[in-house]
This record gives sequence, C-alpha cells and structure tokens, in this order.
Amino acid sequence: MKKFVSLLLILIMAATMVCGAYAENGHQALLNVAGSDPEDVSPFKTDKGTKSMLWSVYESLYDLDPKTGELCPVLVDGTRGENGGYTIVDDTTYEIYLQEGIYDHAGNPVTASDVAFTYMKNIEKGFKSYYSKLEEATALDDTTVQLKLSAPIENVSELLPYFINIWVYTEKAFNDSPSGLTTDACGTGRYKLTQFVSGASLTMEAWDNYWQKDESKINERHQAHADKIVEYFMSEETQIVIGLETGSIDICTKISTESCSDFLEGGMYANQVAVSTLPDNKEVVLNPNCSPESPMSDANLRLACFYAIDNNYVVRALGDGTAVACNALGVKEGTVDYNEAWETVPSYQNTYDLALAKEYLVKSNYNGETLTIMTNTDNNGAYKTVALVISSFLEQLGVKTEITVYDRNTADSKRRDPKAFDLEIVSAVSVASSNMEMYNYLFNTQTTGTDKTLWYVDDSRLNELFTTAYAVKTNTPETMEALYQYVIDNGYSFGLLRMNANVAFRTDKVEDIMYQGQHLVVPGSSPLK
Amino acid sequence: MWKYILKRVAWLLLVLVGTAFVIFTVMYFVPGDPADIALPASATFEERQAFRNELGLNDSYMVQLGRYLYKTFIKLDFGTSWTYNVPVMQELFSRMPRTFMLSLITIVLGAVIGIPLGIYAALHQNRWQDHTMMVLAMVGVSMPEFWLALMLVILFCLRLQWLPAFGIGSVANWVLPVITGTVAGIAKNARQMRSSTLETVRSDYISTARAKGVPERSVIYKHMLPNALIPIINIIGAQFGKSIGGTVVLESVFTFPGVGLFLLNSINTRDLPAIRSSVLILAFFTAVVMLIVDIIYACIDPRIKAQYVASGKGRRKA
Amino acid sequence: MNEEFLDIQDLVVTYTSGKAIVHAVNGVSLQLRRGEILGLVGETGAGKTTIAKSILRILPDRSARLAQGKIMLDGQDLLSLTEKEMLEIRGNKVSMIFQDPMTALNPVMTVGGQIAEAVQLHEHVDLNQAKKKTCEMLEMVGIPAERFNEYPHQFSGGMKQRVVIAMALACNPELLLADEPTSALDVTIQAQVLEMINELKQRFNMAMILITHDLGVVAETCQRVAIIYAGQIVEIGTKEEIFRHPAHPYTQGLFGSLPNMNSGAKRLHPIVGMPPDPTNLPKGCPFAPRCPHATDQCRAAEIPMKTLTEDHSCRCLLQTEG
Repeated sequence: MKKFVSLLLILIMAATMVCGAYAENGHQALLNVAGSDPEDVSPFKTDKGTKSMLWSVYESLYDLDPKTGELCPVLVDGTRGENGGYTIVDDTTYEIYLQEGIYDHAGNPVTASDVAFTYMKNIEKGFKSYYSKLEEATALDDTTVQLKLSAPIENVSELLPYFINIWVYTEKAFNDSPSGLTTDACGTGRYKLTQFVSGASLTMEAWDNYWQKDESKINERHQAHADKIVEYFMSEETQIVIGLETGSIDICTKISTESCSDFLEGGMYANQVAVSTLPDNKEVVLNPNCSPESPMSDANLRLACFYAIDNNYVVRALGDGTAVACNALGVKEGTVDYNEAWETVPSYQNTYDLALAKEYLVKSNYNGETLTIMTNTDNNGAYKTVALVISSFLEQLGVKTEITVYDRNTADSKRRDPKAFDLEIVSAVSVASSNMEMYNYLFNTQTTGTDKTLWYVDDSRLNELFTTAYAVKTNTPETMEALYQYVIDNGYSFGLLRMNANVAFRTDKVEDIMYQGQHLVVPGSSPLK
Repeated sequence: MWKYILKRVAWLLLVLVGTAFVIFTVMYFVPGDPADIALPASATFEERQAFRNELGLNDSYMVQLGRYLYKTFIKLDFGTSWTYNVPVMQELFSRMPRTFMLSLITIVLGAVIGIPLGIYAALHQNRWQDHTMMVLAMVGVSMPEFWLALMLVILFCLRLQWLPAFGIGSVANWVLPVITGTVAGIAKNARQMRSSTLETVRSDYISTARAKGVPERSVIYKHMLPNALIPIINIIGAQFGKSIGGTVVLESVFTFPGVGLFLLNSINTRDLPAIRSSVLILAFFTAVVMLIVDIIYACIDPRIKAQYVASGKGRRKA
Repeated sequence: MNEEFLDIQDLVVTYTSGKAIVHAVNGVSLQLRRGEILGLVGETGAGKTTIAKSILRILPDRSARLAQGKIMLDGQDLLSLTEKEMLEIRGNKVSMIFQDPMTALNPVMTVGGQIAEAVQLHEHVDLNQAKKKTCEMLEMVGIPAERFNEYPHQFSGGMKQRVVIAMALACNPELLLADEPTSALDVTIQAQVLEMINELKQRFNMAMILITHDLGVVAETCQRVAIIYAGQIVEIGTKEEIFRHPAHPYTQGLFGSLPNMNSGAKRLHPIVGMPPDPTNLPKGCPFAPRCPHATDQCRAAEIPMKTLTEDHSCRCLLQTEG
C-alpha cells in the first residue's frame, strides 16, 4: 500500500514537471481560447454559431461591420462593379468581381471558378436553404463570378448569405483533402488550421504568407496579432472560470453572467480578468398563440397581458448585467433599419400600465382560463426565470397561468401543436444586418406551409404589410414603420429583452476583444498586450 | 464449453438486432425534428419537406425500420453523422480508445485497490480499521462524480496548480479524471469484497481447512480468496460494461472527448445515425464484456462450468 | 497402555456476543485412552462442538476466550503450544470431521487436491507421492481413485462425507474428533459411514471423540459415554453403565424420551422445560429448573462430581457414592 502511494505521488510530480516545462516554452503570442464544439471544421454550414472560430481560417466575399451593419469587401474588389464589388445585371443575374492574386493556405490560386465551385458545393452539401434560388454559378473570367438565379431576389436579407456566408475554398483544396474538408481545412484566412481533435480542441497558426499584401485593404477584423490560437471545446463553466483564473485560458468567448462574479468590480480576480459585455443580437420575445384553440387569439387579451408586463422589472429579476430591456421590437446595434422613434412612441414595449391592461382585460373574452406559458432551457434556465416573473405580472392582472419548460428542440416541436401553449418565450433569430430577418421569423407564413405564421397568426393585412416591407424593392422606412405599427397595435409580439453576451479575457495577455458582425469573437484580431 | 460460447455468440447477434429495433423505435417517437435543427430558421416549409424526404423521414414506421435494419445489418453501413459530417464508425473509433483506456484504468485501479482494502476490512472486522474503511467507502460511494471532479479541479488546478484542468494533451491530463472515476469504484469494490469475504470466512470449508492444519495465510489466499472473488467478478464486469458509455460526466467536466460526450451531443441534436450506431456499439461492447465475465466465472468456479457444459449439451451431467 | 492419551482438565470457554457473555463450557474434565471411542452426548448448544474446537484451538479468535483449563495430549499441554506448533498437530495428530458434508468441502478445489493438501502439509512429500497416498485413501473409503480430479458438487452427500473422512484420516491421526458425522445423512448411509469409521478406527488404533445427540449411534460405536448439559459433564461412564443404570435425572430423561416401539404409546415423553440461557446460567445445578427431584441444596452451590462405580461418575447430589 505504501509503495503504491509513493509511486503514484512520484508519477504525479513527474507529470507536472513535464507540463511546467512545456508551458514555459510557449510563445508569448499563444492564445488559449475556451469556446464551443464546432463538431466539424467544414466550410459548408457557416451559420452555425459553434463554428465561429473558423471565421479566421476561411474568408467570405464580404464581411459585416458590426457597428453599422454594412458590407465590407474582403475577397471582392470594392472598386469594381456598381454596388462596390458586385453588379446587378438583371433581376436574376448578378456579377461579382474578385480581387487578383488570391491564393489559399496550400498555395492554390483562388479564381472565380473556385468561387463558383464553392457555391455549387455548398448547395450539394446540404446548405440549400440559403441558396435555394441559385440555379447556377459560373466563372466568366478569372475574377468575375456570375450567379444565375431561378427567381429574382425579392426579400431583404435574401442576398446577404451569398455575400457573407460563403466561405471560399478552391476546388483543388477540396479534391486534395483526405476528408473532403470536414476534419481538415484549407482557406484563405489569416490563420491556418493545423490541428483538429474532434471533441477536444483545434489549433490555428498565423499565416505569414497571407495573400493580401496591401495593408490598407485589410480591415481590423482580419488581423493576426497572435501567432497561435488553441481553442478548447469546453462546456463546463466552472472549468472555464478556473482556466481563466489560473491563466491556462486567455479568452472565453461565451460565459454566463453568474460565472463572471469573480471578475467584475470588487471580485477576487478583477485585476487579472476583464469582461467585455455586449447585448446579443438576438431578441427574446414573448409570442402569443393566435390560433382559435387559444384564448390569446383575442387581441384585447393580448394587449391586456402585454401592458401588464414591465420588462425592465423582468431584466432586474434576471440579475444585474444579465440582460438589457428592449423598448422596441428590434435590435438596435449593427442593423441598418432600426428606427429610434419606436422607443418613444408609447406602446406596451415601453409602457407598463396596469390600469390600461385591466381595461383591455375587461373588453376581452377572458373567462378565467389558465394560460400555458411555454419556454425552453437555453441560457442556463434564464428563460424560466423570465416566465416566472411574467407569470406573477399576469397574476397581478388577474390572469391565471402555468409554465411548461422543454429543451429547445422539443419546444420547437411542441410549437407545432396549437393546443400545447398559449404564450411562448423564445429567442428570435440572430440579426445580421436587418431587422427584417427577425420579422421574417416572427411573421412570415412561408415557413409553415399554411397561411399562418409559426404562432398561428392568420391576418391577411399583416401578410400584406410584411410582404411589402420584406421585398427589396419596397423596403423603405415607411413600409417598415407601417408593419411595426400594425404589429404593435395588434400585440402580435412583445420584444422583452436581449441577453448580454459576455466575453471574459485575461488582462495580462489581451488588450481588448474584436468582434465580427453578429457579435462573434475574432480572437486573432483582438489586440494583445 | 465451446458449444456454450457459440450459443452465447449467437445470442449476441440477436441482442444487437433487438437493441437496434428498440433504439430505432424510441428515437422515432422522441419529439424533435432533425429538419428544424439542421436547417436555419428561415427555411421555408418546402425546404423542410425536401430535407425530410431526402433523409427518408417522411416514410412510414415500417418502411424506415426496414430500411434501417437492412442498411445496418446486411450492408453493414452505419451511416454518416448529420452533425459531425463524418462516418459514425470513424468518429466512434477515433474516440473509443480514449474512453476505453479511461474505463479500463479506472476499473483496474478500482479493483486492484478496492479488493485488498475490502479483504483487509473483513479480516479486521469490527475493529477500527474496519470501521474507518467502511465510513470512507460510504462517502466514496455517495459522492456525486461531478462534484468530486470539480472539487479536485479546484484543489489541484486552482489552488495548488499542480495539474492541468482540461484537455487530453499529456499524461497529467489523465490523472484527475482517473482519480475521480476510481474513487467510486474503490468504494464499491471494497464494500462488496468485505461482505463477500465475511460470508466466505464463516463457511464450513474454512473451518475444515483450519482443522487440517493449513496455515492462516494459505487459508486466506488459497481457500477463501477464490471463493470470495466470485461475486466480485460479476460486479467488475458490470462496472466495465457500464463505464464505456457512462463516463459522460467525466468527459463533460474535463473536456475529454470520448464516446459519452459524442452520444450526448448526438442526442441533443437528434442526430439519428450517430445515436443509433453509438448505442449499437455500446450494446456490443457490453454484451462482449458480459460474455468474458461469464467465461472467467466458469474458469474459477467449476460448478458454473459444469452448468454451462450441461446447458451446451442440452442434458444434465449425472 | 492405560495412561490417559487425552486429558482435559477443567476447561472453561466463553464467547462474547455483543455485550453478553455466553458461558459455553463450564469446567469440563474428561479423559480418553488410546484407541478408545468416547461418545459426547447432549442437546444443541450444550457445548460439545466448542470442546472439540478447543482441543484443536480453532475457535473464532475474536469472540471466543479459553478462560482456563488444560488439555494434555500425550503428555503435551496443547493450550501452551505456539500457533506454529499447533499447525503440526492439526490434521496430523488430531483431526476433525464436521457436521454438514455439503458445505465442508471447498467448492472450487478438486476433492483429490483437498486431500492431497493435507498430505503435503504434514508428510513433507512431493506432489506425486501425495497423489498416490490420496488415491489410496479414496479407495479406502470406497471412492474410485479416478474421481481424484472431480469437484465436490459432483458427489452425493454420503460420498462427500466419505471424502471428508478420507481427508481427516489421510495423515494417520491419533485422535479423531467427529462432530455429528452422520446427522446430515439418511439412515442407510449413516450405517455405512459408521461401519467405515469403526473399521478405520480398528485399523489405525485411533482414539475418537464422537459428538452426537443420537443415542442409537452411541450404542453402536462408543465404548464410553459422557453426557453434557449446559457446558458441564453431568454424567460419564462406560456405555453399559450409562445405558443400564442412567443416574442423572437428565440422562434418565433422555432415555425416557426415546419412544418404545413395544409399548404402543401414543405420546412422546419429552423432558419438561427448556435448556438454560447460556448468558445467564442459574446458580447451582443447571438442570435444577427442570429436574423433578431438585432440592434447595441443588440450587445453592456448584455440584461436584460423584464417583458411583469405578467407571461411572455423576454430577448430582441425589446419588449415593458407591
């Protein structure tokens, strides 16, 4: 027994010495990042939030400026074309102009035919939804890509995926790759993917031979301040916190507010670790079930409930710094079509008026039914807290409620059953640059295959207003205003709050955090000390 | 004896088919549409239908079941993971060695340390050694694994900074997961061994051996131990079978990419090929482990061996 | 050779069970000559097995305590020997057969192996010679030597007991302690086993203590009989004396309770009452509570052994010394 214990101790000490030696050899510009598991490193389904790290490995034609929501050219030549890199030849034909002299990590030159190949490959690999209208992508010459669509681009944000979600790779790289680019990567970005251990980590190294030699054309999101970045796929927050505290993790791309308590003002590690907080570009909304099976199909009841809820209070109940309240149904930062006036025009979004709510309740057909509030378990159960607070507000109003909670996938299925819920608390889709993306999720009837929205709203006027605002040709501040006002007047959705996304980083290594559009962290471009 | 083994192997195949049937049916009825998960929220209804058609999700239960069984058992094609986009078997085989090693080390250490401790406690029954050991064993069995893991991490990684907290780079990364997994194993084995030993020690044949003049050491090692070990083998086998898929907690806390995490993630994303094939693999391993345990049983206990031989022949030996 | 081969003097053994102390053996003295069979008769719990285990010193260490006494075997005091020396005695000079043959053999060792183990331990021969001796012993007890490599579960109860006997006698012990060797067997097998024991005793000139509660067995095999009650010997003498002239009320009760086939009796005549609680023995004669002839004197103090005839003693105040 004794011998065994001493042997074990010797082994442990030997192991730690090895690790210690290893750590000291590391470069100063080695960044250890704690992030989520991308599952594979393929460039095919690029909207997966878990793949955000690979944004440094692959580049798209454009990227979005996170502050203004505007397109910035990356691979395209912004000086050519009528729209800064592309030309709309006619309704169904687009031409995109690439820069010259682009090559990928393996040295293969990137030409228009590669871009065309990328488009067609992505469709084949199951990313059809974004490119459902793309009939054919061809190369007119080395730097001109022609996109032929089966139908004109009608709606706002329909064109965006063609520009920002297409991670370009060469045909040769794809054919040369032993795994078809699923477990290895070859792109044009500032970093090369050097190792991928499924389920554990991935390693990226700065590419000294970056194809873009003109410094002025490299925007701040495509820098390479760190020589090497290792991302660990960590789901256990305690481990991440310990990693940050001991210095084995330099950046954590997503950390909940509770776990940050040691890092905020007055916390034990406030000097070593800082937290950068931005409100998410996803809004958490309260949607009523407007089908005939639910009492919420009555507009008066909807307005009654909404006026009775104070979303500022809800945000306070979640804890300091966990979320910000929304005074309008829309995301403010980084969008091109947010109207500040929405915040001041009195509506349930910015007014808490119990008396008014009771008036509406009297006018409604509410007969004491118990309403079901459905929500999901994302965000560490924050939505459940929101549901509880809302439930109390509605009690105060005189409306009885009960709460059901499911994991997100199950909640998505339950929504299909109009009898399963009356109110749902759910986070709307991420908004890349236009709030119409969110309104599309909330009010479009195309996704369900019936004439109703996902929440069973059957209103032809709504349809009309939405379709008008959604179409590119008629998308103006006025049409958006009309849509917005109609939604608010009828209480079709209540934008409650936006969760704060926290990024924690060690102040001795990292100066500040760089974000790309959609509030995803680009560790390589973050300025270091 | 060979006939018995062959019979068991045949049963194994049946077990696998049965497992495939059960897991298929269960996943068929679990809520959660793969189309919703795989496609972006803005996908239209037609696109969702097209996706489902492609994956064959719109067919009836029997058709899907038939297709699945045919594909798995006749064509031996275990499918490609919808989430990881690699063939399921490839992903499993790259993770299996890690989980396997972790389980193996944990089980072996648990047995090697736990069994002697149990015997020691039994031989000093009701003295302070016995009481201390049983209290510790109770604590060990009752501690939740993730709590122990996190406590160890806080102690060794945060305060003492002796060991890395996560990852799979070096030997040091394995120390904490192994310790965490072993504690419960040691405790269980010690308790079981103790009660097994106590039972054996009271047996008449131990008195006979003593009355024969066999020295106490030989009584313990030659007469008592083989008999006391018999129930433990079953337990250790069961532990091993369970731990291949059951190291999820350890893998989660220590970012240890193994089969458990893979299965968990697949379930969350309703990745049907991955779930079905992983469960099949786990069933296969468990069944093989059980078969090995039964064979070891037969080697140690001649009564069991006789039973197997008899059942293999189909009639009882006089 | 009239010296005593085995001389137990005033043996007292207690067990500790929780807080209570069980007085299992309370001052037992008996003598045995070479080649003699002594039957030790008494009810369950009277202390018979304890006496036998004390001779071999295989009482459970933790709970049993050999409080006082001397056990002289062939001039040596067994209680003063070291454990190492006792190992030489056990299985070699003194052997024991236990009651239940079904559990007396190690299920995972071959029967031949178990017998050979005893041979190897005490005769210091190599494996082959031990095997030879084992086969001889097996044949001697009527088991074909080919069954050397079989396991206990492959034998019937009677054959298992024979194996046990073979194992006990493998090293030619001078004293055999048989603890109810036939209680677990049916009558026909019982007869066979007893016959065999007798035969072997003749052959090896073994002394034997045969523990039993069956007076019929005593009648068939023993030369002398000792009756035990509540850890004390209450009567001891030759078989003829005890059977013809039972002196102690307990002995009389025992014989009285045997059903008489000739009398056509419809009811049995048991001894009234229950044996005393060994943790709380009464003062004086332990049989007094049940004895129809008990007096106050009986209950007052310990009763000494009275010699009735040359080979018949009784621990009872009512007897007259002869």
